Amino acid sequence: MRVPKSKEDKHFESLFMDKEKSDVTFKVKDTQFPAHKEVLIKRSRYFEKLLNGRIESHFEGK
Amino acid sequence: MIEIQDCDEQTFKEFLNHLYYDQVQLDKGLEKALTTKLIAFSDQYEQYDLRDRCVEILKFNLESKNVLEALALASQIRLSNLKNACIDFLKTKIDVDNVSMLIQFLESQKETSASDNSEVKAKAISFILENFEEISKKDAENLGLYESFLVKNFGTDTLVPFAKAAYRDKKQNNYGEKWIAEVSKDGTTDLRLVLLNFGTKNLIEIENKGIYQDLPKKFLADIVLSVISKKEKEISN
Repeated sequence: MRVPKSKEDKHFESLFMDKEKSDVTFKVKDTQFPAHKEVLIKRSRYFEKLLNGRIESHFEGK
Repeated sequence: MIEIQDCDEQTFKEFLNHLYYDQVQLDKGLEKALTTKLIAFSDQYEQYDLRDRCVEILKFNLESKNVLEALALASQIRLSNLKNACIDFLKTKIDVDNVSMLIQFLESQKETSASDNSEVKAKAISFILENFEEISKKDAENLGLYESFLVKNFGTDTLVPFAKAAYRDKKQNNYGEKWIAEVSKDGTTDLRLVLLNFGTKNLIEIENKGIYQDLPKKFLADIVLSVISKKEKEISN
């Protein structure tokens, strides 16, 4: 069920769990996950809305 | 910092992995418990492509142990294709260990989905009746549940094994006492209160069918008297 990837996907892959280029952090229980707004906005409808301030959130900005 | 509530690390990591790699860890054998969590989480966070991929994985991995969890999830977040897959599975795989959960699920469903569930309900009822002896031994705690399910969903015929078991157990003073007490809300250890719910018309039907032929007349008379006194109360109210 693997889908052929575009160049953009390759770029995203190299960012997975990358702390250096991270500009946003998720906290799940006691674990922190470095993440990247570029990826979230492109890939996630929910986080795109959240990061662009189009939905109310109880999250704290970074 | 974005704090994610109601999620564990493993599920979130899989979610994040999907955002970056656009793949589900199928070949690494995504844990079965994780699949349902990931469906719920990706639905909540509107990651519908991930959710739908996981639904396909779950449908492929349905088994007796996880089918009810999957069914509850499908109903909760309205995934009709997963729900149908679970119901198809259950039609062929009802067993003594999952039947009480199946009933609880069916009872929790709204009236609007009654027709969707009618076939699996019919399977459940015939399973209970066919396996009544085994169920009553293995799952005595839930006999009240089976009884109210049968009473609610099916006709008077389904009362036969219960009426017999109730009387037999009443005489032998064994487990039956427990469930009779459970179904009688007044705390009276008697099947009469259950039968009262059927009303006089159904009671006459039961009598005509000769269901009570092997029960003493006194027992039947008690039931009839109870029905009459209930009717009288209704009239005076």
